[in-house]
Amino acid sequence: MLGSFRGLFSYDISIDLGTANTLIYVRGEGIVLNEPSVVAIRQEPGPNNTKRISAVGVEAKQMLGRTPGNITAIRPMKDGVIADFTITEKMLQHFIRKVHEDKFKAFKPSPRVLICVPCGATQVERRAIKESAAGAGAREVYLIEEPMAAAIGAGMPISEASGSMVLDIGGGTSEIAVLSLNGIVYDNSVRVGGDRFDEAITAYVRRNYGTLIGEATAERIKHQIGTAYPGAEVREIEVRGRNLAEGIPRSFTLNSNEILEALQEPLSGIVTAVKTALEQTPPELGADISERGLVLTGGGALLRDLDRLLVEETGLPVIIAEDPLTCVARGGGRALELMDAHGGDLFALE
Amino acid sequence: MSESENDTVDEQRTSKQKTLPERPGRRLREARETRNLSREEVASELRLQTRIVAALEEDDDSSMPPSAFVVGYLRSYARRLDLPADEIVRAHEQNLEGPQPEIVPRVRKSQVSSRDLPVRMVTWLIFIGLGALLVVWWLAQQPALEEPGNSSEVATAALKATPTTPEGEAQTVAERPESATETDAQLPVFVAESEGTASEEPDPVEPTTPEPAPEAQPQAAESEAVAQAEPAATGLRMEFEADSWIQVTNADGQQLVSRVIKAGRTLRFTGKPPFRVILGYAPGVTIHYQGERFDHTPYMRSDVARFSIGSPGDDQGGEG
Repeated sequence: MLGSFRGLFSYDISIDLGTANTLIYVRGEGIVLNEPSVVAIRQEPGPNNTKRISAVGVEAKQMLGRTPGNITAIRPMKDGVIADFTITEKMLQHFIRKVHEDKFKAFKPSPRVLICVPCGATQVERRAIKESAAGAGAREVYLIEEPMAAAIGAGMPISEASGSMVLDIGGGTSEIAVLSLNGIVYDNSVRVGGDRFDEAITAYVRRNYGTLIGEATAERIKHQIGTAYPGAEVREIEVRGRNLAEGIPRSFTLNSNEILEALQEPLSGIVTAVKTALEQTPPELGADISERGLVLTGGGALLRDLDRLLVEETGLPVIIAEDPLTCVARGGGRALELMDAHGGDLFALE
Repeated sequence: MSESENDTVDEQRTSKQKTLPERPGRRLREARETRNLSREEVASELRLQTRIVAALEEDDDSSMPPSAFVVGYLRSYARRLDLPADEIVRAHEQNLEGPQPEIVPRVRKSQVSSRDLPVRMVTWLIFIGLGALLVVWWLAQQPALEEPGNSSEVATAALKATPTTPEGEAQTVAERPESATETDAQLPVFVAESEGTASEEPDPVEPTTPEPAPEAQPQAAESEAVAQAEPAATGLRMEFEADSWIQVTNADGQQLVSRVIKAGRTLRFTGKPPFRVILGYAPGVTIHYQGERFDHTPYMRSDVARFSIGSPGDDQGGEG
């Protein structure tokens, strides 16, 4: 009763609770929050051993790998699912409050929330996400599978009786799905994503340069010169890391071909997943997909020439969705609207 | 389709859409031609069908897949030709009509839900019906509240008419019915013949009631109704303050009434005295005879009272 009253002063929101970034789409307002899923926790001095949230989001991400002993910056999500339940709840609570901050100050927010989950998430993981959102103050919680939300967000005609294939490369997982008639015909989730790219770069640099670089540096390398397919242009970047032999920070230069080599292993994981999906797709839908193509969404789609790699490997036209980073959150928001218009049985919502 | 035909088609289209920026097809085709590439070559490189490449160059929306795909094709094509992809896509989107594909439920709903129109209509009808019933009930209550005033007037009028009847046929006169229908149905029950005694009735002779019927009481009880209607003081009048069974028999042994009377009603009897009265619940009944209070408490035995009232000399006094 009180919840529905408070609901008058809350938004309907869709959350893409990703390993790397959390995006919140507010109905009627668009994407209002896009922050890293990072929480910094400070250990309070004293006998009680209490822990406090020190920072969340962008601020906390800047602390990653740079924290003193009493602060730990952690990512509460791993591989698209909750690794630390309490911290996830706190993070969601912070984000939900932040979204409502400017408009409804007087009331504790109690929004309707739709959360996108990886299709590979188990029942236990789904329940954990649901309870986490409920604990963060959500009035009602719905779950939608990420590829479905991504396809809606990318503007794919999922209601048609024709196959659409979507590949959503997130921070922790990559989801591949074939959709038709508002439903998922095939889905698969591989635990390869942006984080694995970063790890591969870190490992490559350590192996070939004997130098240790941090997560943030690896990510910067990926963003600036990362590529998935050999191009005509070779780009370079100067990075600093600790030389393992000397123990002193050293600076060195990396080029895009080296990064391409470093990324081979995670990329082949994605390519294999796409090929497996095509093998498993019923032939009629496969024909539709080969005519129209495969749609790439998620932050991983921004890796340079990833579409060229997939075109060469699969022989399908490959399309990068507009604004791939926000596709899932936007799709979730649209799903909320459609759910209100057509009832909850439009998609397989939980 | 030859190139010249394409040109004319494009020109027609651009002249038609002067307000809109130029569509990207022509620019793509020109760029492709300067690079000496055929449509087939481009199509095989982009893994697209030749007809889709043709449709892109001719800006032919009808043979293209949904917009999300077209934007992707344009981007890849523009990148292949080293054209600025964003510009091409913008040019395409500005001419776009339906940006989002419609998402509709594919499964017919088998279960009726509360948001269905017929269900909502029925719900509203029920609410409106209940509201209407409430109004009807309210309106029905209104006259009932006003009734005491009106009905006393009616009763007075009826009583006024009584003595003037030449035959002296008398009437009852009963009561203040709560509803008109009830009155109609029950009136005949109380009708008593007064057989020529009517002429005597109006003149009240000095009461010699054996009971201590104080003279002051009629005055105290005097209301304008009584004052207005002198005849009302004649005969036997019973006011019911509580539900009570009653039986009244006149001198001829004719039973005038024998049933339960509800609280708040008043019965009047005219006719041949003495009346033999049995009250089921005597404390709840007040009796006036010939305009004077008749105390029936001496006859009460555990709430039941049996007595006669009035004397054959028409006037009164009888006791049983």
